[in-house]
Amino acid sequence: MKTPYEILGISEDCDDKTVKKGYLGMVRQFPPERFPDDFQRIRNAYEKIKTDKDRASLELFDRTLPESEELIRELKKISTENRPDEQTLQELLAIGVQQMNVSM
Amino acid sequence: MAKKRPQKKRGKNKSTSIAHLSINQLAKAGQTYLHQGKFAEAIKVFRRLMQESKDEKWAKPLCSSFQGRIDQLVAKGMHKEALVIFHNMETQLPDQALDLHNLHILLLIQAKQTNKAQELFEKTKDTLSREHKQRIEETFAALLLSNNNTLSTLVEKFPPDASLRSQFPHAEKALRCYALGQDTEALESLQHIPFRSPYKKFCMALKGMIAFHDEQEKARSFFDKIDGESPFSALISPYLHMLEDAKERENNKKDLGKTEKQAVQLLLGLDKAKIKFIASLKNNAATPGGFFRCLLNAGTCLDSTILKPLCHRLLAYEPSYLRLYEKKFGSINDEFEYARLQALALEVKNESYQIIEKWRQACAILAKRKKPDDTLKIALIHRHIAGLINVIHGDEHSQRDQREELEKSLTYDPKNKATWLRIHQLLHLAPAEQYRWVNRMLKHFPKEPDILFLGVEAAVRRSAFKKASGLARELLKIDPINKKVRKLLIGAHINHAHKLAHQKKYVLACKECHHASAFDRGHSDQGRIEITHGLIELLQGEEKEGLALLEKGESRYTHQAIARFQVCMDAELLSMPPEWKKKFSTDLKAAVKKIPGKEELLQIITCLMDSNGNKLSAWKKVRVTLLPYVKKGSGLTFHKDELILICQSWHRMCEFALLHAYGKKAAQQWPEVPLFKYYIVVGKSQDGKKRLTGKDIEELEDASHTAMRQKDSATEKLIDDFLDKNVPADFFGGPPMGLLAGLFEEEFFGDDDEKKKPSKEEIKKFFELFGDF
Repeated sequence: MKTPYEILGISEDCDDKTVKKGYLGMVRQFPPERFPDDFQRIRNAYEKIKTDKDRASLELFDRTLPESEELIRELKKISTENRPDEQTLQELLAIGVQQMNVSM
Repeated sequence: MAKKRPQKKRGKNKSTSIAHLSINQLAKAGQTYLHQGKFAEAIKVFRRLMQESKDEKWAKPLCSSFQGRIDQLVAKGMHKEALVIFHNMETQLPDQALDLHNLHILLLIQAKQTNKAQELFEKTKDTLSREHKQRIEETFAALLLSNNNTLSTLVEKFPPDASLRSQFPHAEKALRCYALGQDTEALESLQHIPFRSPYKKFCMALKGMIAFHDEQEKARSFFDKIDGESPFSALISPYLHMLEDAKERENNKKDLGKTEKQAVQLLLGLDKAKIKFIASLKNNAATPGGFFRCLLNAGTCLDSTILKPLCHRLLAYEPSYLRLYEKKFGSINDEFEYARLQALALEVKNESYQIIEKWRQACAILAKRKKPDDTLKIALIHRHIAGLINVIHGDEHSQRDQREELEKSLTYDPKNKATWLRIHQLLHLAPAEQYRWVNRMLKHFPKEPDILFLGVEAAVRRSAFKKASGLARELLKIDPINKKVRKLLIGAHINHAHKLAHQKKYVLACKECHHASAFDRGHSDQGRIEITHGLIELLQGEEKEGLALLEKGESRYTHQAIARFQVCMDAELLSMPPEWKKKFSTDLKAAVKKIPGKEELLQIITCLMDSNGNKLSAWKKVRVTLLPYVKKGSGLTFHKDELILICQSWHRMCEFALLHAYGKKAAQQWPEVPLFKYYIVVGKSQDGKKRLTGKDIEELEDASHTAMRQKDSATEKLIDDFLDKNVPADFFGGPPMGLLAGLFEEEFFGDDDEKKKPSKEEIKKFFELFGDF
């Protein structure tokens, strides 16, 4: 689901230099000896958008089906950490009372 | 008529089963039930014992049975039923029930009879143990904070000086402030609550919850102080869940209740709309259409910068949703984009023939609008079409179409080396055209090592040695340690020397040898430089110098026989005077052993394949000495690739008996290789020019099919060409179409250098002979 640009953390209007910079930055973060799977994903993304031709080719012919699971993960990631509302907290307290063991 | 209600099937009345038991038996059964946790049965048994024996000793086990049953029902959430059981106990065992006010109050709270619970608590609080009182107050604290509508007046029922009432506003404010993200205010409110308070564990829980968002370890230390029996444990359970590691969290997710799960999602930052959206994705996004609909209904959950490209990508899978897409995000309004989406949709459906047509349409749209940015797109689409043609029709049947598309792409993107190389590869069956293509490539990429290398190889194949050496020298400037190029360069100089020597330009020929020596790095097989130089010196009459050079050259070979064979071959190629050739032939005879080694035989083959000029006639002069020697070599063990090279060499040298012998040996070892079967038949039929038998033709046809299956187009073509030229006219009941091949080959292959048109007389003769067919 993630586009190669998102994997390398760069914008879609990038040039070859930016792509390489993004790739090297990600490789530093995920070196192949420690994160082989992540590295492979990064490498594949880099190969797909390495040059202007690769980028144009991706734009024209890419028909990767987006995945809902990935979207859900993304949604969870982009959501800023929050806290339950007062009603939910009250409901939890009520549950606590109801579920409490009465024998002592 | 009223419907008769079906009678309920009743189980065996258990009371009847204990009706006839003696007291001892009842006592035993009661204890067993109690131990087994069958409290309902135990109650019946002990109640009966109490009635039968009138002994008070059964009161205690009966009380335990009641309490056990109450716990069971509470655990199932059947609080009202539990309260009924407690009331039964009160009636049955009034003395025991007096000591269980704490249980009664808690049961009343859980059965939602909170006013009664509060009244009982007020009445009995002085009789309760400290521990029981704390527990009940803590439960009231949690109950008050849960803010059930029915509880609005409950807090006021407590005396004004009671901690539960006086501290409630601070606790309530703290909880509200936390929910609103006002942590400082929440902590301030908590400061009003003393350490010894019914809200003590609430304070711990809330401090932990506040710490959770910044320092999770600190949060854990607060949560550790709240035991699992506390009514506040449910409040912190989503936070404890979040503190687990991801894997553990995933495993324990199913243990959470609905509200706890919701709290967890809220902690993850998912508001209720997002939670709903995620649920709809999970249920409906299995198909592209379902996914599309979910996305369209995403509302505010996703920004349109995320939504739009996602929906756009899904259009390739669901082109029928285009209208919906345009309604939501506005018209695409781009003729090319519509065509592109349609082409992608056809690719998804695998509609082979229409895909190419649609891409061509898209290309035409781009070409018409003449935007400078579109040239690359056009080139890419042509390349894509070539790729699709290859996938649909296979490489061997669509080379021309692929080439056309790729050449079109080069007009828009001429610097794409990969495309140039791909066309070169597609031309492997048309050497003349391939050579012209290499020259075009060299003009575009004069400094590219791989293209220079292809140039050297092509020039050598065309005997354009001067050109080959020039290109090789250029290549060595870029890649000085390339051994293969060095070898090619030396070979080109030697062959050029041969050419010059034939023209009696001995000085220039010697110069070429000097050039070759300059690139010599002392490898054993490069003794040929000295041999050629020596022979040219001999041709000039410089006998002493020539022989010295020959000796030097020969000494660089590991096997003397091979060195002398090379001398004989080069002497033939240089058309040396007969006396020299005779001398060299005698020398070779003396050096040849009875049985060749594998290495020696392979060196002979390398020499035959490497040397240029008229090798065939040279070999024919030398072969008499070597024939018995190489014949015995067919008994040696070779690798598959080595045998292919050997067979190719015998084929090229028209040594059909040897080709048959080596081909047979190879086919025994690798029966699946069609090329060896071809060599057997060629060897057998061409040795003595025998006619092909029906069996031979069948075998060749089999081999051709195998080659086709193995996608070995070179072998397939080789066999088919051989069959065309050699199958007798009457074999298939028709004329030998091979005779007409020259007529149409140009039409099909467009290679005017390679194919020769038949003359009018030839065509006329053909129709005279086979006109009746």
